[in-house]
Amino acid sequence: MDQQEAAEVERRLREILRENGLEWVLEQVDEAIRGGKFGQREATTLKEYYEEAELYLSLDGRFATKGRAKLTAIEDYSARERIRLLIDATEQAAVVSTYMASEASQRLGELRNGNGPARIKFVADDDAEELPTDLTEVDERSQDADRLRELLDALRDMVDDQ
Amino acid sequence: MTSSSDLLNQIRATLGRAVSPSHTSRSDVSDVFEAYIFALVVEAARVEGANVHFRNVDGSVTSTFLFRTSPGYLHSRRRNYSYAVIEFQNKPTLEAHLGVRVSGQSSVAHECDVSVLWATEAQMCRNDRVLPRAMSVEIAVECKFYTTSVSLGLARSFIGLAADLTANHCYFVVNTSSVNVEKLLARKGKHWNTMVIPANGHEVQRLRNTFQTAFANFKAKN
Repeated sequence: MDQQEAAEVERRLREILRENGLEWVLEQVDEAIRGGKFGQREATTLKEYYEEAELYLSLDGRFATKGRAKLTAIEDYSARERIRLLIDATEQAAVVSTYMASEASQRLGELRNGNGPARIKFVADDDAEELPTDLTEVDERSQDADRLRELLDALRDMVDDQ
Repeated sequence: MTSSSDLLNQIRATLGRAVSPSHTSRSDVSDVFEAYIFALVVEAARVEGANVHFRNVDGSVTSTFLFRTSPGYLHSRRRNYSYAVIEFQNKPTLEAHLGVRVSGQSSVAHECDVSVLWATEAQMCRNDRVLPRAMSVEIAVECKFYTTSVSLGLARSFIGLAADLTANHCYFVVNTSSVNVEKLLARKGKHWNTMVIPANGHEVQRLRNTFQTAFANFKAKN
């Protein structure tokens, strides 16, 4: 995948997430991209001379090479890595969250009386009227989540292989 | 061979159906994660030999689980929220709650995403409309659902929270991973579990075992 194609894939993935109301996912991905990735880089360690007055004449002259060491460094994500971040984030938001809702419903149902998945609703504890989040329709979405996971895996392979 | 453009078209067609209309904000998905961890905590109690049943604030038996979307007060009666009652034979009764505020050592109110506390304390809170004290909290779980690696700042906040809660068992649980967060919490001797997602059975089992150990310690001490 060349730079141009990678840029187009990233642009379209962002567009798809926005179309589906997942701007919050993009915010998290952008925050990760801004933060960069931690890596290790070799650096030349230095020592400073205090005794030899003539070395103070130039700043560069004060320091001498001591050795080499691997130190923590921050690096920018590459175009491919940015796509990986977007794919992983999409999977967490749309696939993992669906499986999680299904598991929560199954496990609580089992703990309550074992008669099938539990119905779970979330409502804010204030006076504002808020539509409750209901997890009862979660099983219907699980098949789409399975399909989406396959597609995201295929895209991930494409990004890694080429 | 499928092109990236074809794949993206298929992803566009599928994503809308897969994602819940209620998951269009970060907090909605976080609520689901908290409910999932709540289920694991209660399951650990059951595996450890507890009799578990579910109640609502008005005392009725839970049929539909009603949970908070934002942190609230255990004594609140505005909504008929659900909680778990955990009974070990000849031991003090416990309750498990989702998203309630607890008073720390400094008397500051902290949000506990999932908490297990003594039922006597919980009942006192419902009677007198006060916040539960940190000393009565047996398990406090900070749940973080992120689509990318969690930032170090969240781990730093957790260290402060754990210090003020002085809970016997304070846990930092995340759905993704972060080498730096793990490093920091491990060096500070804190409980942490990353990559806790349904597909990762090993981590889910490890977390449940940790909760089981907390319940086993509770039984031994009381």
